[in-house]
Amino acid sequence: MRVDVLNVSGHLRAAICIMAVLALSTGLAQAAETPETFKFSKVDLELLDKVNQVDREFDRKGLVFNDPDTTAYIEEIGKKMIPEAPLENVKWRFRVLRDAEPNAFALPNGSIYIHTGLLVMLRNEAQLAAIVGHEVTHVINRHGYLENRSYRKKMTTINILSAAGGVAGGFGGIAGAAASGVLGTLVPGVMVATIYGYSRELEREADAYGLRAMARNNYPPIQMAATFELLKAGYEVQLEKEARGLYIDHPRLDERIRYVNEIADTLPLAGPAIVRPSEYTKEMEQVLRHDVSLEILTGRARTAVAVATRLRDMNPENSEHAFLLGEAYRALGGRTPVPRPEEITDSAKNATRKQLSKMTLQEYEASLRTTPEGKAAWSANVKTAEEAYNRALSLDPQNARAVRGLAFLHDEDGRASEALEGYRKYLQLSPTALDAYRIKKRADDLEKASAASAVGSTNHN
Amino acid sequence: MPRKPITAILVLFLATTAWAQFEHPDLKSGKAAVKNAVIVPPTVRIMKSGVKSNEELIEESRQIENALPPLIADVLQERQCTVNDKVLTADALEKDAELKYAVADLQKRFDEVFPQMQRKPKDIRKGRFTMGDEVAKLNPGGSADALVFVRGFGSVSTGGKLFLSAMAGAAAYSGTVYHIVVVDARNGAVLYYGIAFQGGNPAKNPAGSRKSIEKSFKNFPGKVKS
Repeated sequence: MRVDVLNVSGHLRAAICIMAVLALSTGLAQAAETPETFKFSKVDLELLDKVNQVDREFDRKGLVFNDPDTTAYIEEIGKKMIPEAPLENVKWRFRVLRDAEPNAFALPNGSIYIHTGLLVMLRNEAQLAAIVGHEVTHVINRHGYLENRSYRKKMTTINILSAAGGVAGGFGGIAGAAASGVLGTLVPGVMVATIYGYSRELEREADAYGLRAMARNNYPPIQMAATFELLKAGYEVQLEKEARGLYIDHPRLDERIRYVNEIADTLPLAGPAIVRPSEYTKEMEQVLRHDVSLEILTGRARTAVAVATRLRDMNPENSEHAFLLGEAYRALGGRTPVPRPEEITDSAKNATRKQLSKMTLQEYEASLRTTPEGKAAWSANVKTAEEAYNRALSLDPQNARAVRGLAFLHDEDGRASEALEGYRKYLQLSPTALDAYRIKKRADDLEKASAASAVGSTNHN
Repeated sequence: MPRKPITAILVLFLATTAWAQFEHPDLKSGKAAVKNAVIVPPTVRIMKSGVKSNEELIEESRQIENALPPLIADVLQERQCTVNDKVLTADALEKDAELKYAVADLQKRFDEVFPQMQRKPKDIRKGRFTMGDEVAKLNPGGSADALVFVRGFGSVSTGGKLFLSAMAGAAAYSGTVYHIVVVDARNGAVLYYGIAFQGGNPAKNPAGSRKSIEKSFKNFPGKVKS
C-alpha cells in the first residue's frame, strides 16, 4: 500500500514543492511592502484584534506598572518620537511592563511596552528616547503585520512540505514529525518576533529611524550606542548561550553599536543637546523602587543591589531606599555583589546551568550558601544588609517594612530571639498588612521552637 | 522507521501520564488537611494549530480561565473542602493594585517552581517542593488551608492541519492538559499535584472539563459526597 503511494507521489511531490516555493516567494514580496502602500487585509485585522486582547491580558494579569507620573513622562517622550499624522489602526500607548528582563517591544496596534528591567538600566532621557524611537518604528513601518504575513506563508510551506515528506516517505519520517511537532507547539512566531526582535534588516531599519527621530528632537543619537553599551555590561552572569531579547543579544549588540555610531556621526542636532540625566532618574524613582523586588523575585539579586545602590545614592536620607538596599543584600544570599572571575568561566557557567536545570531557584540559592565561598559571601551580605536596615530605621523608626526585613535577616541567619522581636514589632506597626498573617505564623513558629528547645534543655539537665 | 509502533508508544505514554496524582506525605498521612481553599486565577493557553499559523486563542483561553474556578470549587466541595471565592475575584484585584501585583508575583514564583515539579513530580511525595511562606500573602487572616494553582495547556487543530499531519504521519490532536497544584496556604509546601487530559476543544465542552478536573483530584483526601 505504501509502495503504491510512493509510486503516484512523484507528480504530487513536485506540485507541492512548487506550491511551497510560490508561497515563500509571495511572502517575500509582501514583506517588501512599504508603510505608504500598506493595505489592511483580513489577516492583518485579525492580528490587530489579537494584540488588542494581549493589551487587555497584560493589564488583567497585573503585569502593567500603573504609575500615572511615570506613564505621563514616558508618554511625553513618546509623543516627540511619533509622526504627527495619525496612522490607520494605531492608538499610541506607552506602558511599563513589570518585568526584570531588560527589554522593550511594540505591538502593531501602537502599544509600546518598556520593561522595568530596561528602564532601570538607562541613565538619561536621551537613552529612553532611543528605545522609544526604535520601538515606534516597528509600528510605523508595520513590521508586526509584515512579519505575520511572512510567518503564515512559512507555516503553510512547512506544513505542506512535511505532508509531502509523509507521502513520499523521504522528507518526513521521524525527522519531519519532530520538526513539525516542535514548530507546531511554538508560540506564534509573530509574537516571538515582536517581543524578542525581528530580522536584522527590520531591526536596523528601526535603529536608523530612531536615530533620526532622536536628532530631530535634539537628543544626541550617540546615546543609542551608549544604551547598548550599558546593556551589554549588565550585572548578572550571562548564562544563556544565546541570550534572548533584542537588548541583551551580545554579538548583535556589538554590530549594532558599530553601525549606530556610524549613522550617529552623520546626524547633526538643530539645537542644544538634550540628555537630562538627573530629570530622568527623578522621574524613574518609582520604577527603580518597584523593580528592586521584581529583580529579587527572578533571582537577579546583583541587579537588585545595583538598582538599590543607585536609589540610595540619589537620596541617602530616604528610609525606603535604605530598606531596599537591605532587601537586595539579603537576597544576594551566598553570592558576592559582583560576579567573581571564576563564576564567568565557561565551565562554571555550564555547571550553574546544569544545577539550575535540576533545581528550583530557592534550592539553588540554598545550595550556594553551603559552599565556603557562599558562607563568606553570606556573612558579608548579612553585615551590609543589617547596616542598611538599621540606617532605614534610624531615618524612620516607623518603617515597618525595614523592621520586617531585619527580622527576616535575623531569622535566616539563625538569630531567633532578634527575629521574634522584629516580627512582633512589625505586627504592632502594621497589623492589617497583606502579609500580617504570614509574619504572625513565623513568630508563632519561632516561639514554639524556642519553647520546645527550652523544654529539651530542662529535660537534659 | 515504522510509524505505527511509535504512535502506539506515544498513545501508551499519554495514557499513563494523562491522569496522574502526587501527594505530599503529610497530606497522605492526614497530618495536613485541606478544608478551606482559595483558587488563584488559573492560567490557560489554548493554541489553535492550523496550516497557516499557530496562534493563541486568547479569548477562548480567558473563557476557560473564568470557567475553571467554579468547576474546581464544585469538585472540592464534594470532598468536603470549602472554597472561598470572594478573595481573588476580578473585581477585588481591579480595586487593589497591591493585591493584583502580589498575585502576579506569586504566579511568577509558581511558574519558576513548576518546571521542576513537572520534571520530577514524584518528589512531591518526598515533600521536596515549596513556594515559600510568601503564599500566605494571599491568605488573609489565615482562614485558608490551601491555595490552588491551575495551568492549562491545550491545542486545537484545524481540519486542514489534521489532514496534512495525517499525510505526514505526524501526530496532531485537539486537547488540553490541566495541571492542578494545591499549595499549603501557610508555609507554601506543595501538597498535591494532579494532571488531567481533556480531549477536544475545552471551550466547547465544559462538562468534559468538569470530568477531567474530577479525575485530577482522584487521590485528593476527603470522602466524595454522593
